Amino acid sequence: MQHPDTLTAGEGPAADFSGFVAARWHALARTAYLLTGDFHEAEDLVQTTLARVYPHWHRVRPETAEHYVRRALVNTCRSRHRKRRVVHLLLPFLPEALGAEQGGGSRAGEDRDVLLDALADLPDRQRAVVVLRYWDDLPLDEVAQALGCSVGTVKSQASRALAKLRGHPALAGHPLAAAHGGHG
Amino acid sequence: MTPPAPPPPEPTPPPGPAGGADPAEVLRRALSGTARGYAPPPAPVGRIVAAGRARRRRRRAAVAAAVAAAVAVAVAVPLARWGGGSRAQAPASIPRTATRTTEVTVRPPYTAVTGHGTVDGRPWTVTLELYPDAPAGALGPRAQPRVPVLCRRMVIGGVRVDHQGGPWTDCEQVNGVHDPDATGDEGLWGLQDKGLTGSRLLVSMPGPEVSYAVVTFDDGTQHTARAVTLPHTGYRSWAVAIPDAETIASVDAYDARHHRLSHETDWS
Repeated sequence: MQHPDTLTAGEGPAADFSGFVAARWHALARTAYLLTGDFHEAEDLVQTTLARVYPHWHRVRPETAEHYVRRALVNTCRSRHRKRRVVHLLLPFLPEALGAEQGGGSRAGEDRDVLLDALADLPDRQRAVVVLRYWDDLPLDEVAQALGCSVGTVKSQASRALAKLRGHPALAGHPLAAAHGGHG
Repeated sequence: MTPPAPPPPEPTPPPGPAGGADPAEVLRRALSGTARGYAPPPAPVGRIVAAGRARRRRRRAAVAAAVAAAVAVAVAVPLARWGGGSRAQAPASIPRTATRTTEVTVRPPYTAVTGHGTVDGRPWTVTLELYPDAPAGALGPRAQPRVPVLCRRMVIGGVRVDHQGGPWTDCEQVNGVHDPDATGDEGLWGLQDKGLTGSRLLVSMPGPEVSYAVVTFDDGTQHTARAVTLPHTGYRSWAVAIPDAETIASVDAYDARHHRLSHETDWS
């Protein structure tokens, strides 16, 4: 990926951005899938995030582009979850049909992974820590940067998340429940 | 910069007890198995870039409006104080500016009708126009003078969409006759309710790879629209009219070999 300052004639930040999207789409979509548990929502989340990043792309340094986008992805996801919580709070007061639709109709009928079920029960920040740390393999300091918290917080959140996952009923019998040892 | 490669494929964790294994490592494997069980579709690069451009335009418009308001206040307040408030002279300059703008001779634009037909009993047209040198102030007081301006003129039943905004609404400054930033847009326009109700026009400015689009309504009817190129330029457009109360189920773009390039379902 070229930095906008070094682009040759005929190219531009837009072409640079398109190259980044094409190269990183799959990885970002999978991260979003683990963050949301729903592939429709994951694809929409990545699209929304990248569209938000686009106007600022000329200011993004190439060496930090991946980090920048990933941080934006996590923030957009958490922002959506916050809004959804409001919907959940209002669900009892909504007509039944609308409530059912808002409650995750796109997931209906899917054979969902038990791990996604367990991840869904984690608080947003713990889930983000798990995905960034154990799926994206980001170092602790980068996870902390992405989430806007300290390294110590990342460590504690990771530890709590792991403990919750191991004790989650959906993962009873899963290798994770049987594992024991130090945390990575 | 070469983006970091995605993690290498890992096998799904074997079933059975994992006593003694590092929980973090087991979690890594489990996450990998789950994530790799999902195969994302091809990246919708064009759609993302188009959405990004639309977002950038909205940001710029908001900033320009804020700046204009700030300048207006900064100028008007001292003038009002200086004039004692009873004989404010500043407003007199506004009509003069407007008159000067309309008096400038404009070279005739390149034009091309990119869509036409009848919707809800009324004729409609979409016309692309490229003004090689639009007059100063055409796109606002801060716009550069004598620059190429690309316009989408959308007319339903003899009424131009957004005519309330003046002769240069639905126009944008472009960089010559081949400006990649001016392609990729797609939107619904109408005479009321910001294109959400009534007879509407779905107008797209596709890239060169798109040959035609098929718009499917919720009632199953399909409309094919060919992309038309504005002569002597790289600007292209296709348009489909949406009748009142009709909704869009999908929009599919195809290349000249009838390969589907995109499938959009979020226009309803």
